[in-house]
Formats: sequence, C-alpha cells, structure tokens
Amino acid sequence: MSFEHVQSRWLFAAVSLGLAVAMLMLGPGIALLATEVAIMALFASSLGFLINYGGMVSFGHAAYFGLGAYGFALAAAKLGLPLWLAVVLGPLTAALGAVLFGALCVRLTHIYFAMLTLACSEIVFTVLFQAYDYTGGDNGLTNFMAPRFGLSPQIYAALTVAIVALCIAFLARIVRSPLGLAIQAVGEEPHRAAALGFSPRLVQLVACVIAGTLAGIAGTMYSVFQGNAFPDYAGVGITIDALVMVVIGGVKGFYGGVFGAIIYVLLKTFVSRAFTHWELVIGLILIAVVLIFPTGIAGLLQKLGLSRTARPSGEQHP
Amino acid sequence: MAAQLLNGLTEGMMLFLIASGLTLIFGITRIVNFAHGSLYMLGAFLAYHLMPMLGGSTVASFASAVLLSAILVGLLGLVFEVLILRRIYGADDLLQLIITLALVLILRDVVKAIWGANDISVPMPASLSGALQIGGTFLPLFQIVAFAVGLVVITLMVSIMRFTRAGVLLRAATDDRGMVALLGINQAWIFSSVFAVGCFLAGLAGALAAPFGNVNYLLDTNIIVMAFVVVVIGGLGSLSGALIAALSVGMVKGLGVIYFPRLSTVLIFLIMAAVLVIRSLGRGAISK
Amino acid sequence: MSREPILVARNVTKQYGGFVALGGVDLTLQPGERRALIGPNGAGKSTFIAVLGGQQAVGPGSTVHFAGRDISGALPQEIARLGIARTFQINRVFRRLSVLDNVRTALLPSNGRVFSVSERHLTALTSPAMTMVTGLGLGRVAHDAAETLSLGDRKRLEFGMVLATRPKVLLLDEPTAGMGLNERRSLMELMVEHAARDQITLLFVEHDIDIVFRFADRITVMSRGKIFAEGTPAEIGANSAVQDIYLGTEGAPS
Repeated sequence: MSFEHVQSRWLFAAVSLGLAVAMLMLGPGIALLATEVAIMALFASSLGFLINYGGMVSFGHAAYFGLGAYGFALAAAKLGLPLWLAVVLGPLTAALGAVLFGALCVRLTHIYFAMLTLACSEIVFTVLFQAYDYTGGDNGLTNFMAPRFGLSPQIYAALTVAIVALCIAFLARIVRSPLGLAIQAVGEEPHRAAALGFSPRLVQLVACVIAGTLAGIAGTMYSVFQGNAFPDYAGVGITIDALVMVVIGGVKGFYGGVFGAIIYVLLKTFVSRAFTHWELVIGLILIAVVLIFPTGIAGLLQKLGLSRTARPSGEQHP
Repeated sequence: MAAQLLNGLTEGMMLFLIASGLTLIFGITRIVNFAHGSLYMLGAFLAYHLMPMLGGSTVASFASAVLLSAILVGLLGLVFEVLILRRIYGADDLLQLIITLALVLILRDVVKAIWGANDISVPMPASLSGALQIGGTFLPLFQIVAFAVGLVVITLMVSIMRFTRAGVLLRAATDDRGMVALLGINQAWIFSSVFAVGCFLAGLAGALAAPFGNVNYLLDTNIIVMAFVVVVIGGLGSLSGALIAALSVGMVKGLGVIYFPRLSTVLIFLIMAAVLVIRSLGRGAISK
Repeated sequence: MSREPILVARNVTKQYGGFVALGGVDLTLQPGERRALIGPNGAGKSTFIAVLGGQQAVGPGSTVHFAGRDISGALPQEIARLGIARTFQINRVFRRLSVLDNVRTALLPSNGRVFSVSERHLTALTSPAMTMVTGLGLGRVAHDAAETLSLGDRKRLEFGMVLATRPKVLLLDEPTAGMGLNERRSLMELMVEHAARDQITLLFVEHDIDIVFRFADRITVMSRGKIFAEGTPAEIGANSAVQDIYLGTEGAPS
C-alpha cells in the first residue's frame, strides 16, 4: 500500500468528520438542506456506481429508494416494531428487492436492461399506490413518528453526513478491490470477461445488490428525515433526478454523484427562490454538460488537477 | 361491456399514436426519446390554447387545432433534432438519454410558465359530445371519431411504409442497421424527418386525446412510461408490434377497471417484465 | 502421436436460420500441437472457434470433448475455467483499466478472488501481473489505460490476459490481423514461445500463409462449413485442391 493511498484515506476521513462536525454549527434551515444533499449524494452515487463501473444504465433505481423508505415506514407504522429494528429493515427490504429484480434484469443489456428496471420500479410504485389498506396509497404513511426521531436538524444532519461518508467509503473500497475490477471488467467487455472465467450475470447481480442496498439506505434515511413515506419515493421522477445528478456531476468520476447532488439540490433550492423555473435551468445545464463537458463536474475538476477519480490500482501514478 | 370495450380500444389507439412515433424514432436513429411524453403533453396544451382562437368548440376548429398542434410539435422536434440531437448520434447511450431528459425538464417548465400548474380541460366539439345508439348500448360519439382518426393515421402509415420508396428504405434501415449507411447523403435529412414525424404523432395523440381527461404538466412521465410499455411489449422498432401491444394494453386497462381495478396497472407492468424476460431466455444473450 | 487427444470435436454443426455455418466439422487436437485453421472468408473458422469457446451453442448431434470431458453446451465461463482460453478477432481488452489491472483482472478467476472486497487480495496479484506485463514487453506502459495502447500492444495485452488464466488450450482468432509484416512475425513468435514454455496447445485462425507455414505443426483447411483437408504444412502445400479453393476455382467435394 502506498503512502499516497493512505494519505487519501485519511483525507477522506478528515473531510467527512469535519463536515459532520460543521453540521452542528449550522442554522436549522441550512442543516435541513445539507441533510437532503447528503442523502441524495448517496442515492446518486449508488446509481453512478452501477452506471460507471457496472455499465448498467437503470431507469428504475427509485425502486430501491422507495423500498428502503417503505421497508422502514411500514415496519415502524404498521408492524409497530422498535425504530432501531425498522431502520435496519428498510435497507434490508431494498437489498431483497435488488436480489429479485437484479436477477431478472441482468439477463438483459442496454436499453432492454433499462426498460426492465423501469418495469420493476413501476411495479413497486403501483403496488405502493394501490395497496391502500397497508400503505395508505396516495396519502402515504404519515404521523407515525416525529421527523428525524425528534432529533434537532443539526444533529440529524451530522448523523446523516457520517453515515453517507461511511457508505461512500465502502463504495470506494469496493471499487479498489478484486470485486471492483470484476464489476468493471464485466461492465465494459462482458464477452471478454466470460472468456476469462467470470460469470457475467452473477457479477452484475452483485453490483445491483450493492447499488440497491445503498439506495435503500438513502431511502430509509429520507423517510426518517421527513417522518413519512409516499409512493412517489419509488416513482420515475426520483430516478430521473438521480440520473440528472450523475450526469451533471460526471458519469466517469467516482464522486460524480456527490458533486451532482450538491449542484442539483442547491440549484433547486436557490434558483427556485429567485426564479420559478429551475427545471428549465437544469435542462439547459444538462444540454450544456452533454454538448460541452461530457465528463461533468468531476471531469472538469480532474482536468484542473483538483480531484482524482478512484481507480483500482492503489500504487498507480496519478 | 361494449362501452368498456370501446373505451379500451380508444385508449389503445391513442397509446399506439404515441408509441408509433417512439418506436419509429428508435428504429431509425436508435434514440430512446424520453421527451416523447412531454411532446404529447405539449400537444394537449397547444390544442387547449388554439381551439378558442380557431372558433371555439366546433368540429372544424377542433380538427384544425389538433392538426396545427401536431404540426407545431413536429416542428419543435425538427428544431431540436437539427440543433442538438444531430450532434450526439453515435455518442454514449447515456448522453443521448440525458439530452432527451433535458427536453423533458425544459418542456415541463415551459408548460408551467405558459399555462400554469393546474389541471385544464379541453372541451369536446359540441356536435361530437353525444352518443351513438347501437343495439341497446350508447357509445360516446367522440370516442368513435377518435378511434377512426387513429385508423386513418394507421392506413396512411401503412401506405407510406409499403408503397413509397422512402418507406421501403425506412423499413430496411430499421431491420438492418447496415442499411442505414445506404441511406447515403440523405441520412441526416432522413433522421431529421423521422424525428419530426415521430414528434408530430406524439403531438397529434396529445391533442386528439386531450378532451378525454384532465391535462396537466404531470402528464409527461405518466404517458412516457405507458409508451415505453407498449413499445417494449411490441418489440422496439416494430410498428405492427406496437399496434397489437397498444390495443392489448388499452383493453387490459379498459376491462381491468371493471374486473380487477387494483391489479390492472400492475398487470400491465408484469406483462412488460414477462415479455422482456421471456425474450431473454435462450442462450447467448449474456450481453450485447 | 499415441497420447490421449486433448480436444475432440465431432460432427459440429451450426445453423443461423437457413444458413449452414458449420456442416459437421470433426477436429482432434493432440496436447502441445500448434494447429492452424485456414480457409477462405465465410468458411466457418470463427464460428467454429466460437463453438469451442462456448460463445455459440452447438447444433444437435454435435459433441466437443476436452481432456475426456464433454463440454458441448457449457457456458463460456465454464469452458474458460476448465482451461480453454481464447482471443477475439476484434481485440477485446478492458479499455478503461490500466494494463496492469487488465492482467490482475485476468488473474482473479483462477485465484478464486472474484468476489473479494479485500484490497490485499488485489495487491497480492501485483507482482505476478507485473512479471507478465514485463514479459510481454509492456513494462513501460503498465500504468497506462489500455485504450491508449497501439493495436499491437493491445493484442499483446489480450494474449497476456488469456495466458494469465493458465489455459491448456488456446484459441487465437486471427491473432495478427491488421498489423504490419514485421510486427506480425514478432507477435506470433512471442505467442508460440509462451505456449511452448507453458505446454499450451494452440489452435489459430490465420490468413497470412507465410505465418501459417512458419508456425504450424499441422494445418486444417475449412471451406463452406466443412473440413476440406488436413495435414502437415508440407502435405497441405502440395495439395493443389487447397490452392484452388483460395483461387476461387473450387469444386468442393461433399
């Protein structure tokens, strides 16, 4: 293990800890905003991982966000389980969903993969919407707990930032591991990988479950944050949000999802205050990104020497 | 029962009009146009806007509003293709998708800015708002007319695809990607016109179907998802497949509402998933 | 030649719709031999390689035995793990990974580390991978992304990756296609040298007759989905019917 590598790990830990502590000193409004940014950063990163390393463009990533939210909310609101258990059940539900949907979806590639993920997430959305007796349908599940377990916005923001940092560190570890190489190999050249002895679908399934579970953690944290759950959490809209974040942030960079979430949520919040039509602005930015900077913000920073993408070989030169 | 049947058929026909444009565009340009639902929505809003200007709720003003809306949407598609899409053919799948997603966001905001965020409703032409008595049942006249318009569009499409040189070329290029090169120097022009015609069809469907229900800016994602379902079940790029799939989906929705109201939508997505999984069965489909 | 053959293909058929790509091909490879597979375009050479590698399913009635084991119908990854490796006609490497990581990746399946999340398991592969990279003459570009390499270097890399799987049989589909004359020969020399060192049986599809006659022990000639002739380079060189099919005056016996 090289010096440089250790250094970047300590740097990551220091920045995360610094951010978490900083949350405690913010005003409540900014803390709430920071929490949303952090949760969306995790959600977008999980999708970015699937796209960038796994080569799988999903149109249905919201399924796992929704399952994470409802797995928690149903356990807490309808089963009356203790909150700590419900918090564990949320991501677990998403993981199970990812095993099931992933096993089906990895049979397909490209646009057909995307379409099947869309069908899966729409099934989740519709079931949540229609199973009125259990999920409250369109009205969602509300008033079953105090938002953020009653914690102050600042403390919950610090907690969220810490958890998100741990999850992202876990993703970075995966990327730098043998499994990470396998996922990239299969993502890029499935035939070559199979002819070397990799089982492409199994490797892809593992990638889907990792991404789905992390998306589920984001969903659970969001449900706790809001103290509710709505079918829209599993809707196409959330998937589109995450896709947009990944592209603005940079598809090819490890931190693309994080950068994208920061920009997207801030734009949404501040542009919509000054000028109602923030979606128009995002749309124009997207066109500019695709036509002018297809590598997104991460690529731009990399070009300026401000950031490096997480690449497997630890002893590699920058 | 007959009324529900007609309901399903009409809904299926409207779905076909949208899906046909989507599948036509995909077949030739390999672009998955996420903005197709937005163009449908725009068609509906344009019809709402144009009808009063063209003389209120007469058949003639409705017909001209529908046609004009479709043409405007088609022109918008043309401009979008020429200015933006043309630059990224052959680029990464994801970038192509994102460009059309950008159009979704832009159109949604434009619609909100012009027509607001509330539901609007487009009136049926007064003389078509009645019902036709066939046997013992009353069938809404407007549905029959909308269905008939769909049939006319299909007939036109089939004639173009079968009997014109352009149509033969298009079919060949859809079936065999190698043929696209044979489109030769006209390729750029053909891509533009196919994209414009596809958008025209989306606008036409949106305007024609507007009187059936409330119109609002959320229509875009609902419609695009259903259009994807139809296109996938019918087979990407296949017009005849899209027709069969659209009518079937329309019937499942129409009849499902009576027999299994809570399951009908889930059922449609289950069918879509099943179709995709069944197609993937058999070996050699690991990838690419 | 009294040893057990390592690969035996019997009556291999393959149809695409109505088109017969392979019309009953028989082929037997002895351990350690270097067999060239030649024939005009469309003879079915690449399809046959794809059948052996598991990329294409065999038709009914076909059997392929590897080291006494029936592998007809096995998946590509199963065949690869048993010890049949291949390169592709269109060079396939992991373009975004570094040269070193391409080889480390290739080492994972045989080391049973595909699903490991431990970075140590990856670092442990660095030195064998580096040895391989240097041995291929790619030491100076070890840390460059594979997509920045020249075609010749990418072909060396792909060869190194398949070597890393420790194969017993190596299928090379047009290994020297698209390269200059000198480069072809040096690449082929590298491959043959490594194969001899590791006692690997070679089956290679090749159009360059000079290369074929220089490097093959035996030559199999295919035409229209069938075996047309088989023999030593001297026998094939003397066979005028073989020259005819290349000149297009073929009257292929059925």
